Amino acid sequence: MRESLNLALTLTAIALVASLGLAAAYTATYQIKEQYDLEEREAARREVLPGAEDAVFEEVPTDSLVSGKSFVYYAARAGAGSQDVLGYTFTAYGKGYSSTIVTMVGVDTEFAVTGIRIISQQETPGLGTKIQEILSKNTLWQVLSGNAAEEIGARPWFQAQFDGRGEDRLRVVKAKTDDGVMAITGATISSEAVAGSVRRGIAMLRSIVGPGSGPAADTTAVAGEGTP
Amino acid sequence: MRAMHELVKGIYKENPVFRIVLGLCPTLATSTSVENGIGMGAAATFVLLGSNIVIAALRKVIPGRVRIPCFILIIASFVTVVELVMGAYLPELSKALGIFIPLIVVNCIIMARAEAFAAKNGIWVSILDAIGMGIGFTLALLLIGTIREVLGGGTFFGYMVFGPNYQPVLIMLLAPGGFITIALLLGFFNLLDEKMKKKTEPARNSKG
Repeated sequence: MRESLNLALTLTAIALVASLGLAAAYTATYQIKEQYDLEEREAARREVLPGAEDAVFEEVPTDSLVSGKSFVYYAARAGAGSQDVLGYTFTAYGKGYSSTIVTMVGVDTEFAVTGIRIISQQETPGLGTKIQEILSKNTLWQVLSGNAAEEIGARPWFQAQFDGRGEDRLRVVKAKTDDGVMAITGATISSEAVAGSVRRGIAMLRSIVGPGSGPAADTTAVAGEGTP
Repeated sequence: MRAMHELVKGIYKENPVFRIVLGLCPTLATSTSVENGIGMGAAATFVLLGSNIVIAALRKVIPGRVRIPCFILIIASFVTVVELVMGAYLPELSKALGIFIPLIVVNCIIMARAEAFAAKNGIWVSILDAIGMGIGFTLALLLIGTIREVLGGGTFFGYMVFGPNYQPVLIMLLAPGGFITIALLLGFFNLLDEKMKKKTEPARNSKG
């Protein structure tokens, strides 16, 4: 009796200290992490919409759900108060093999992708992580002999494939054609997660701001009337 | 002498991958390239060091009959705290090593060293054991990663080895390639071990 009580108490004490330590570490770090994430998204937003370096981004929340998350898009305007929309960006969430892949997507007013950038993922190293792989054009011997060419602005090849594609040409294919994006060998699930989330986001964006759908404000207003 | 032994044993004599055959799951997953091998090796060594220190320090407090749940609690909390702190203060490093964290939590090398070594030894030797095992794990990943990356991708550390016309043997990057490489290397090291034993045995016999 005495011994089992002792066992239970020790285990409880260790569990308590462990949880307290976790709580303390979380409290001390989550604000910094959140701030960093915000800044990173802001930078990514400008990166995926070339020509929008000086644009003003207007956040537009909607009542629609995409991939289980409420869909929020940003309209890039040439300047404060300007009505000229340069393009849109939104964050896409795709369920990959071992994580939710978060992608920043930029599209122009024709709903063709201007660029994507993966913000966070925890896919299998060496397979799914190739969604972020940057291929070097230098050979090992060039690098060892110091003759390597500098590679500035090199982008991950998987993400570069998305440029200029509309929703209908964003399916994942296994052989190189113009109809879709090439899947990563051994990581079809991760490839489809990214492409699928981008596709769904564009479809949603088109239904909200595209021709014949009416201004975005109306859509939210109609949806809002339903709630008591 | 003992300290030297504890440090060096992980590199060959008790190499976690090739000799104790532990942690094959993360080994298969992260030995696809040299870069991944270094990342996983470094992250695992760091966690191993931390967990060995804590377990060795608490070994007299933890009751033998509930030691396993205690180890799991300690290791999982330690890994999570490291992940949180790294994410806030070293975001770039966190991006590079973050993908390995989930694999480290389930890494049986860390559990095995806690159970087989740190729970029975002092803090200093446990540190040496952790460093040795970490180096051994990293070297094993580097060896497998080099073979798989050079054959499967035609690159070494991301740089082309054979030039752009090389047709990569894709299977080497996939799971079967990992099994084949690890199995061949295991066989090779067993053969090496046998040869070495045969060499030393006659000498021992003549003495006895």
